[in-house]
Amino acid sequence: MRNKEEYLKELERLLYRLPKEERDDILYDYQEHFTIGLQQGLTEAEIIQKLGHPKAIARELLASYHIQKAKSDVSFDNVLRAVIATIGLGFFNLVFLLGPFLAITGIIIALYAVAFSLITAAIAVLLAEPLSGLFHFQFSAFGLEGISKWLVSLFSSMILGGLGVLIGIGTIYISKGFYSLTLKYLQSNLKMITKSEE
Amino acid sequence: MNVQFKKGILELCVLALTSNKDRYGYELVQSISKKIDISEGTVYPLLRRLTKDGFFSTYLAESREGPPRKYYKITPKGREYLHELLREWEMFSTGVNQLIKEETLIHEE
Repeated sequence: MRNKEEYLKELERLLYRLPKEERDDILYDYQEHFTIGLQQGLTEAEIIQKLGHPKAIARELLASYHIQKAKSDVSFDNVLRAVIATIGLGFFNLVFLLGPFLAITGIIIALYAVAFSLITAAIAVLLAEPLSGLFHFQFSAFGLEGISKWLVSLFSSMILGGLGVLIGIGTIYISKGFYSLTLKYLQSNLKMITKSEE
Repeated sequence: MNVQFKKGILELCVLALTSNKDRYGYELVQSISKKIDISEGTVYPLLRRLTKDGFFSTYLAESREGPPRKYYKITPKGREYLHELLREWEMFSTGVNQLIKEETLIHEE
């Protein structure tokens, strides 16, 4: 990378994941930087040396792009990509950020599973018990035993179902909050400007 | 200087530099790198981010020599953010200065 053309080509290559429009806009800034620098009497090599390695620039831009994208379209995929892009900046080691992120994601998945199985259980109780309850109701002398059995199953089904729905809704809020917190944290770390390590 | 120490400070610098006058990228980069040791290339991503967050608006203007240049203009939101950063910086630097002063006085006695 001894001249302007190579430098810009390398930067363009590193930014291939960005939309073309955005990439062109970024390259325009560096093009302008070279043009003015040359007018001021610097050589291309001097300008390159002061700019620092394209890798450092690309990492910064990619992390910022992924965080922006995850913020406008919050999904596990996008948030994970933002986490990984920020790790690429070298602020965190893998265990420090990715570990807790995946652990909490695991807990959230487990909560969803609990909610799902509670609701499933509620439906199962409701389907299974009323039939046998009604059966008792028809054939017992006073019907009291049948009715009380039926009510017990109805109530336990309602409790199970209600608990499942509550946990489910709670978990939706927890995961939304967790993702937006993660993104906020990543974003605050973007403020760190580093000297390129090369 | 410690790299972590520069966190946020560059934001403050570019916002302060544009507070009285619109400036183009190269101008901003030079003003900062004259005084603070940075990789010049990392200022542009910072400018992009601040623009996306609505702290700057940009426009192209003709220059006497060569192609048009991209100018950065601070927005009202950017000015608000600048004042917030300035307050933080003042509190931080006064705190550190006092601390150093007190400590060195104790040791000199």
